[in-house]
Amino acid sequence: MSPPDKEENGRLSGRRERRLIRRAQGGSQEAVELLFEAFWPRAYRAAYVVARDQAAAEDIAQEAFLAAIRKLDTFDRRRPFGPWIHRIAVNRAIDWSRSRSLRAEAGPDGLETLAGEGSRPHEDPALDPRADHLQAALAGLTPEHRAIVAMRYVLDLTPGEIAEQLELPRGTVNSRLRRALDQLASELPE
Amino acid sequence: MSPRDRQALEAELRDLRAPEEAAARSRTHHAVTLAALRAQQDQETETETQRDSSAAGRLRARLPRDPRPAIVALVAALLAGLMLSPAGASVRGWIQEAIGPEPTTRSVPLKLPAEGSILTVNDGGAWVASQNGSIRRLGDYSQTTFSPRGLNYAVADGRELAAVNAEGDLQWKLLAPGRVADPAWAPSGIRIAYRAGPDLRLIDGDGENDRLFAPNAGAAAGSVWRTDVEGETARDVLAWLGRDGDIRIADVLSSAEPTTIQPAGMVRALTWLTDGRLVVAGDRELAVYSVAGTRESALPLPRGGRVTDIAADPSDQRVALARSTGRAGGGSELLLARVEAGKQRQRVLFSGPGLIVGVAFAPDGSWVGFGWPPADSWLFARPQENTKLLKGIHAAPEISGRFSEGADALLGPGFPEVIDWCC
Repeated sequence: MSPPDKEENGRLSGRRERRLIRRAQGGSQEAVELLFEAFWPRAYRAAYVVARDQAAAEDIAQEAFLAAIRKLDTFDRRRPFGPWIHRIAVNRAIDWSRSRSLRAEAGPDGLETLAGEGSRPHEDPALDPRADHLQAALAGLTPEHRAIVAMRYVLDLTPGEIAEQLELPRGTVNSRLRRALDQLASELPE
Repeated sequence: MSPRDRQALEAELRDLRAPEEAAARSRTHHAVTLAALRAQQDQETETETQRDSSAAGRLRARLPRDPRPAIVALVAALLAGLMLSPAGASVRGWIQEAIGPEPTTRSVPLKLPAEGSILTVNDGGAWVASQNGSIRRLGDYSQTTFSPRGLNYAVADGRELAAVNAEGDLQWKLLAPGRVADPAWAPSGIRIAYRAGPDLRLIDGDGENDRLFAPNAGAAAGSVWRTDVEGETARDVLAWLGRDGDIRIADVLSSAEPTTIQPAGMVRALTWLTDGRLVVAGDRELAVYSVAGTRESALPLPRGGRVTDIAADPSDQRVALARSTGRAGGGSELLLARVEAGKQRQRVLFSGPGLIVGVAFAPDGSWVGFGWPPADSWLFARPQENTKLLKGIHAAPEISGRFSEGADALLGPGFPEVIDWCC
């Protein structure tokens, strides 16, 4: 067996990713686990940045992976797996956030329900105060702006890749990203 | 915002973490692993169903509208070779009693009495014989084993270990550090155990992650797998015979020391029962050990002779045991032993001259197949414990000639040993 390929910036190289997909398609449980380890953390973080709800983010990232597993036998392994699964997660998180906004607009019952869902960022001991402020500032952005921030900084996609995945003009992506950063900067303490 | 402030903000965004990440990862990991296992099983079932339907369609297309002449020819061929051989003459009477009058036609396809395929090895290589009579040669291999669903085969010869699919296409191969023996595929499908020289090694089912598992592990009784499913977790447990004569049992992913069993005498064969207990066959007894490795019971075997193979019933707590009798003039017998606690008993299913080569249960437990070189036949016996002997015997005669492609012209193909019967 040849040695594992080098990973780029802690992420799977394209060759290794394709090999893992091939093995997962062949029924290797270990390959599925390696794909999970490689791609789930960022799918979860991106879903959380967009949805702002821990339980929802967990469900969304899990559903994205389960959907990918179910479609693994038809997946074209020449395509990159990571962006595919991350796009599923981000799109679902945007849909979830939009539906939550609609529920919030529907009246106080909806707001009460939302108040009981998930955990709040400041309740997690792993988050330091500065990160807590950043999470609070992110909550002030629209889901669409949060999605672009998540794709740019959590998933490390270029503005061109974001534009392609969200089917938006590249200029729109750049302007939304700039506006999002400006708003975040204005809400963070010095 | 200044470029410096922007850079700092971007760095903070890249370092963002979501709450309860470890717990969420653990919960999702279980769900994804389970889903992958189910998806694989569904895919295999679907593929097998398609294969079965297409094979059934082909078979129907070939069969004449009136099947009676074909059935007569089939019965005739099943018996002809057996009757003509010297050893076969001694069993002619009971075969006739079991199946009917002696027929005259010899050339019909091999037919297995139950569903599934038999894996076999002779001097010409490794082969698969399907229930419908089709025979496929897997290649020049002297060792082979089924994958759990029978869709792939691990094969070996010399230092080469490989996997081929049902069509015989090579999936992967490697050169092991020693001569390969006893490849065994775990029921989970995840990994294969094999011996390379004196060492026991593991490799993933897809040919990756080959590694040493137990150095200097001995070489007599092979290794046997059990997969335990607890909740959403599947654990591959391996039992093997050490060079010191002790049996060791280990969860292959655990760092814990293996459980060690010190058997009463020399061990000839091992097998797991469906309930997770281990059956250890020695020349003098058939001992049963609990899941935890505690000796539960032992069934004494007739004195003299030697156990040559063992197979566990996939549907019941029984084993079939082939042994030489050790009596003057040679001879072998096939024993059926019930090893259920409190109901232990054994009976002879078959006895005849010469050796029995290989024993395997049908996937549904309805037949026991075994090779009997003196009659150049595979014989199949109903594993009945209470009915009259010799009822329900099925014979596949002239068996060597059916696996003769690539055989040495002078020496012939050799007798095809029954390795396993699967799926």
